[in-house]
Amino acid sequence: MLRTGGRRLLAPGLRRLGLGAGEAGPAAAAAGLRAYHERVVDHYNNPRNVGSFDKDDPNVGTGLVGAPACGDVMKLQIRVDEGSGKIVDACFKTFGCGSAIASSSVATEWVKGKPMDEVLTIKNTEIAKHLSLPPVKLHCSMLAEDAIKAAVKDYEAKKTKMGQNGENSPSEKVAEA
Amino acid sequence: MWRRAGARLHLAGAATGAGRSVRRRPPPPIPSAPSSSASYSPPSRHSNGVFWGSVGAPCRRLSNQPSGGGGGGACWSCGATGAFLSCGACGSVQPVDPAVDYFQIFGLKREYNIQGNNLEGKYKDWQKKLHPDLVHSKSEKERGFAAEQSALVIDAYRTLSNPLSRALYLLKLEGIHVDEEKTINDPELLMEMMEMREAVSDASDSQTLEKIQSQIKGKLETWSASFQEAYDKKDFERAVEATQRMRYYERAVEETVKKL
Repeated sequence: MLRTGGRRLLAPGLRRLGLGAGEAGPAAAAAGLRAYHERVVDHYNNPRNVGSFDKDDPNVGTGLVGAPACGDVMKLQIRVDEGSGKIVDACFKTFGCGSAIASSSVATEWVKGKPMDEVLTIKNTEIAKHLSLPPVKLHCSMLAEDAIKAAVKDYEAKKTKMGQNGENSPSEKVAEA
Repeated sequence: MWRRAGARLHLAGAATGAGRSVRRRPPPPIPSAPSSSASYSPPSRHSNGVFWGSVGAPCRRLSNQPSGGGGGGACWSCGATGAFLSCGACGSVQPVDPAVDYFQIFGLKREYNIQGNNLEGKYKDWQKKLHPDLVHSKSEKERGFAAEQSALVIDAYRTLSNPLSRALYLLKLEGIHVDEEKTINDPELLMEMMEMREAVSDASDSQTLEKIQSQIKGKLETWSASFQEAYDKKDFERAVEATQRMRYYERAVEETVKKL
C-alpha cells in the first residue's frame, strides 16, 4: 500500500495498516469490517505532527521507546518553551501497527500547549479510550504514554547537564529526517 | 499468544487409553519452579519482562523425550498400540494428545537447528494421513479428530519452519513467557531499528531495497546464531534478547518484501 502522494514526510510506518499482532489486515478494512475504530483510521490517513526535530536542540526532548514483542519503534519529540515550561510543539515517528501510530499521533496532539508536569499525568487508558482500542492493542497506548515520559525525561536531563545559565537561544529549525 | 497449551491439559486424562504409561504424573507446581537445568533465577520484574511460570510449562515437562514419536497410545478404533496421531494398523485418526510437542510430531530432537530434517516432506506425509478431506466418509468423531490433528500439524510446521517462531516455541517449552506489554528504551537498539526502518521507507528503487534487505537478513543470521548459543548454554536472558532483535529484523524484512 504505497503512498504516491508526493514526498510529504508521512509516518513511514503508515504502510503497515493493521498488520501488527496478527489481526485483520487491509483486506478486512476494505471489506467493510470495522477492524479499526474510525479515529484510528483517521490518524492513519490524516497523520498529525509526523516529523522530526533536531534532537541536539537544547529545547527538544526526545523519547524513543519500543515494544520488542511486536517489533514496534516509537519516537516522540517535544519542543519546550523554556520560559513557561510549556510544550509548544510536538512530533512523532512510529513504525508499527495502526494503533501504535494513532496512539503516538494522539499523544503529540495532547501534549501541545501543556506544561510538562501535566503531560506526565496522561494515562495510556485515556488514549486507549479515545481510540477505542481493543484489549489486544492496549500496549500500543502504553507505548505512547512511555514515549511522552521518555521525552520529558530527556529534556530535563539535558537541562540539568547544561547547567543553570539561561543563555539558550532556541533554534527554530525543524530538521526533517 | 502463547497461552494455548495450558487449556488442553485436562484432555490428557480423557483421551488417553490404556497405552499411556508415563503421562499420569500430576503436574509439578507452577509458581516458581524453574526447569531442572536452568540456573536462571526467577525475578519478579526482569529488565526485559521475562518471567517464569507460563501455563503450558508443566504439561511440557511431562514429555521430556527428546526424539520423535511421543510413543502413542492404543488406537480408539482397533486397539492397536503405538497409535501416534494416526493409527499405523487401521489408519484411524487419533484425538489430539496435548502432551505431544511440535518437535515430536516431526520426529525431531528438541533443538534450535533443525536443518536437513526434511520438515516439509514429513509435513506432507502427515497431511496425507490426517487431512480432513480424507475422512469425509468416516464418523463425525473421527472427522473431528482429523480437523484438530491436521490443524495442529499445520501449526507445528509453521512454527518450526520459521527461525524466530521456532526460537520462541523452544523458550515456551522451557517455561519462559515473554511479556508482550513490556516497553523497552534501550537507546542504541532502538536507534538502530529506527534508522533501519527509515532506510527501508526512504528507499525508492528495488536495488537499494534488495541491498538493505540482505543486510538485515545478515543481522538476522547473526542473532539467530546468538540465540542458538544462548539457548544451548541455557542462558535464557540472552536467548530472549536475541529473539527480540530477531523480531525487529523480521519486521524490517517484511517491510522490504512489501515494497519490492
